[in-house]
Amino acid sequence: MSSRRSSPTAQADRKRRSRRSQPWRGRPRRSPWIVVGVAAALAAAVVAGIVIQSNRTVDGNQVVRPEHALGPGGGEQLGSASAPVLVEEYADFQCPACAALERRLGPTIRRLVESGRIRFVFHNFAFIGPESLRAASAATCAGDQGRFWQYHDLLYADQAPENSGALTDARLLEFGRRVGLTDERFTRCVEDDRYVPWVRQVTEEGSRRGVTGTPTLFRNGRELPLEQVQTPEELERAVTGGGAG
Amino acid sequence: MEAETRQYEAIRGNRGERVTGRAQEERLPRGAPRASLAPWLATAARLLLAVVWTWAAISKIADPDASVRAVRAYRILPEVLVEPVGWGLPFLELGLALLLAAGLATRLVAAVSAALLVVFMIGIVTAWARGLRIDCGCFGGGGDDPTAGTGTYLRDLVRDGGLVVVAVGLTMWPRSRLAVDNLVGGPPGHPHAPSSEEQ
Repeated sequence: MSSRRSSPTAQADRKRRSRRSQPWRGRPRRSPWIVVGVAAALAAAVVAGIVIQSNRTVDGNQVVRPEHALGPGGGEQLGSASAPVLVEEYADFQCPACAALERRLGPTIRRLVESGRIRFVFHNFAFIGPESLRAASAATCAGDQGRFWQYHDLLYADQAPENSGALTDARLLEFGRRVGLTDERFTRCVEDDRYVPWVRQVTEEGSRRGVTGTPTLFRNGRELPLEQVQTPEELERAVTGGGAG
Repeated sequence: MEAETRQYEAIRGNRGERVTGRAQEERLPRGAPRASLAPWLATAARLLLAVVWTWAAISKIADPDASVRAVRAYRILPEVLVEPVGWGLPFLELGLALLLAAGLATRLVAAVSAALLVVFMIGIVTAWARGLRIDCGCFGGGGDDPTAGTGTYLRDLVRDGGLVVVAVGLTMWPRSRLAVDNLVGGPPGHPHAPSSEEQ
């Protein structure tokens, strides 16, 4: 093999090829400037993206706060502030697991509220899609006339698949009719998506609090892992056992 | 690339006429046999990565709130950086996609792609190790996934690992067909000879 590597043929061939490569060897390379330009363009795209998206974020001036009284953290409240335990839920009206939680634990939550053992606060965490925002806004419109919880129950009871386009104005107004809201005030509020910016804002606040999905439960400010509250009995033990906690 | 030239010489010296495909593609003059698929493979790699980055970017750009929440869900970055990253990162991905599709500065863009993918994989591994149950947010959505577990994380890591291999390969062999690089001077470190084999 070694004799072959140094054979005259191979050497001549090498020389020939070396000459052949000369024409572009001394040529000025433009590539470094292309690289610098491309890197600058990527950086500019990132900066432009930050500027564009920050303008699309919720502007405090657009936010219309609900007309009815809210509980801690801008949530809808059930029960008395003097109850020893505060149970909070972050939920999305399009989320099947939230509807399942409502079916499984809703009656127990209401019973614990009525007996004064807990105060329950519902926070919108409308992250699944635009219909989540609109549903939460419509529920808040209902809340302005004292029908939030009835509306909440209907949204879960008649839940359609996520982002299926089912939650049209007509359907949101139909839910209103079923809870006794037929007036112009409710209709305008739903059609204008009046509380959508506010819902986006409270969803963002939930995210900062560490909520990454729905449903998420908190007991006196600390997250209550869902695995620990699968049944009504577990929920009752978890929220009332151990005193105020 | 002196090292590559030497390697080529060694191969050629040892094996007579047998040369590697890429060496042949890059070094032989016009008219020489061109059996190599390597530049077409590089083109395929570019397009694959371009599609992946586009897919990743579009959904995140469409819903900036979700993009920010997905970044926050990893609980790695301080809050002050969460929004800039959630807003800016998808545009970096889109820029990489456009450059890969065009084949401009391929080596740089492939290297940045590989680095970004490695960063994402580190994020996924640490989320997994910390027991966070999030989906990766790779293609929008993101945040919580109650079903996220070993399977989800492994699937994401295998996918990203495969893409890293492709991106690293493209960084090492950035010469490709149908690339703007071929018109404007070639990938850095690859002196280009427009007269030799591109036409």
